[in-house]
Amino acid sequence: MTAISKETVKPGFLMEELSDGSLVQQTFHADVDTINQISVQPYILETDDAAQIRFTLASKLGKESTTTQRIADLKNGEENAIVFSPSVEGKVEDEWTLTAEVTGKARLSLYAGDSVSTARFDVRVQTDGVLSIDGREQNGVLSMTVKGTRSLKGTRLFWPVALVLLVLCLLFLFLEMSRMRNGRRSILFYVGEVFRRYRYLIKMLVQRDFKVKYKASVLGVFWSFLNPLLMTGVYHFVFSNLFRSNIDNFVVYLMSGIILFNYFSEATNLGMMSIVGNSSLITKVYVPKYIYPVSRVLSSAINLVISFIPLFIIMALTGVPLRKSILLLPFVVIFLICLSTGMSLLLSSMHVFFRDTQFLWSILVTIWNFLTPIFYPESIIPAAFLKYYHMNPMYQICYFARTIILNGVSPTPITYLYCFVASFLPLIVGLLIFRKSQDKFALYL
Amino acid sequence: MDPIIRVSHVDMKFHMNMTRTNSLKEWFVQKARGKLRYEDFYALKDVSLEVERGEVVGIVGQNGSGKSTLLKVISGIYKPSAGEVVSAGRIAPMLELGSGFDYELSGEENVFLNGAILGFEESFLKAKYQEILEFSELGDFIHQPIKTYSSGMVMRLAFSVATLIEPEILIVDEILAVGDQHFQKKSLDRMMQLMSSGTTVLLVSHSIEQIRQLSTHCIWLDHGHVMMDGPTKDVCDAYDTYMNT
Repeated sequence: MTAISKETVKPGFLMEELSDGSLVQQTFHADVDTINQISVQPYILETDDAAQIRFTLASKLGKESTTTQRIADLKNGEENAIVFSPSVEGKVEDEWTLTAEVTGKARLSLYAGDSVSTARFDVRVQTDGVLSIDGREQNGVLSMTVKGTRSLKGTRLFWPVALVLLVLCLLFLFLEMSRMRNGRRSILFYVGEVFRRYRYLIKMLVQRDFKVKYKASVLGVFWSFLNPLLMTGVYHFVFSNLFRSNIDNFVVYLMSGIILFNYFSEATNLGMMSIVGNSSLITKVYVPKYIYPVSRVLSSAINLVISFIPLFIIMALTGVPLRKSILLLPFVVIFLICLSTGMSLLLSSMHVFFRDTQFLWSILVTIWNFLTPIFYPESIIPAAFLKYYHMNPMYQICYFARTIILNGVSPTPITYLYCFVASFLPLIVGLLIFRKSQDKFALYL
Repeated sequence: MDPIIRVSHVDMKFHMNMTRTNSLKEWFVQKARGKLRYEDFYALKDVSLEVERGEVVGIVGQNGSGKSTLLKVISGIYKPSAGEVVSAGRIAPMLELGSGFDYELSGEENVFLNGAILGFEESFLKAKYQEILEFSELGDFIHQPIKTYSSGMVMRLAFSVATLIEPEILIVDEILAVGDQHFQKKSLDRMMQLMSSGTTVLLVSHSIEQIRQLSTHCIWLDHGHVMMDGPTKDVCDAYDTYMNT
């Protein structure tokens, strides 16, 4: 298993000026065992056409790789990716050394900093490395973004977590069995029974929602296709200049986020209205009321699956290979459906008693949208808030999906766990609240 | 034989909201002021009854006596505040025709949607579809969205779906005769046929003649209490006497 990490030292200040023959050396620790790219931010005062800067990356294993760049080719004041080919192998716990040597007639400086913004909390670049220019030690560390991979051999957490989950599942099954034996209605049995008995009704309601949605439109289902494309186009036009430099393949990053969040917002909005909207039925015919929000969430899920097709097309166009990891996408769909169902159950029962819920939710969902890294990189969030920021279930699901799509690897086991909690906890809370309040629905409709 | 419906000691209590709160803000404001008062209103009080398989039970009573509430409690729409309702069959409520229709969909799609809502399986509905279509006399219009139908056509379709699927328990709130004279007669005949064919029927009607004619057993509700429960003739006579004095 591999994890790709990307870690950034934020630019804080410029270090002292470099000229012909200057040698910058930076030692650092990073949570990776192979590095293939380091980005730096130069500030170029003057240069001629021939001046060069030579980067050498060396690991404690004795491996090293060198790349030479013409200074005139560097983008001034922006992040420039220095690609090391072949990539350099090392060890997670060892120190790495990056040296940069200037040759030719040029005057430039590099940004340095003293705080780290990581793209993910389970990998870190440490700021304990030493920065020196021509042997003289400097303050801070070079502002750089390290990109590398780490193979997760015998991942420490995987087996304990898997074991705990297995034990919990067995325990749950055992409890359910014993409840059934005692003649009490078990939740699992009840859910299965409802689904078996009302399978056809759910199917019809999902079909209805889907048919009615595009009934009068000329392009019909094609809109499920077109909508994410157009949205991505608009967001891309607006935001590409702001954030592009920090994100590889901004289009796919953006589109995956938009598709996932669109689904969440559509499903919860429709789900919220499902009880009040079907009030004429609920007050006339007995049907388990769970079916209304659940069928709405499921009918939106058809849209979600359809909108993966344009995503795959964009991936192909921008050169993201379709890898085995894409087979993990059903996990994303399941997590999203569970989360949306939970929220829909909660919102729809709230909405029966307080019709303000719909107005409140439209604001909340907008805030939620901004709290999720849809169109901006996570690295702009201050490190102090990251802990809270990561509690957002949509964040976890987006991260999961992007690891699969963009990096082409399975997320770390801990991410599975986070996503599991982030989607099933809201589902359980929603179910409990819905169950407690559903008997009163008919009185308030 | 076990009764198909057993209602035991059912209370149905409504909160009469003295201060109507429909918004979160209002609720908090009223709660803070301590003004959130409810007055309890009993639509049903200690109602018990049993219905045997195949019976046609008439329910009589004045307006506001709890007849419709009782039907809703039996069909599971309201959960009683106290007591218990046990029913051993599939209930098809005929409370308001066409409430499960989606006007964007075609007549055909609506037959299946409405059938599914009433709890029937796909195979059963497919088998019944032709019969429903013929009874409704809609012909080729069945493929048009029902928003293009006249109100009479919608009613005909709704009636056909509700009565042709032969439920185990049929709940009827006033006998409906819909459409033009020809269809009114046809639908009335259909209702009579259903009631005499062994289906268990709960029938609410203000027409005491219909009740006398159709039901085998009668219940008189007054202000949420069961005033009388017995053979149709006795109950109807007593009710008539009460109403005329």
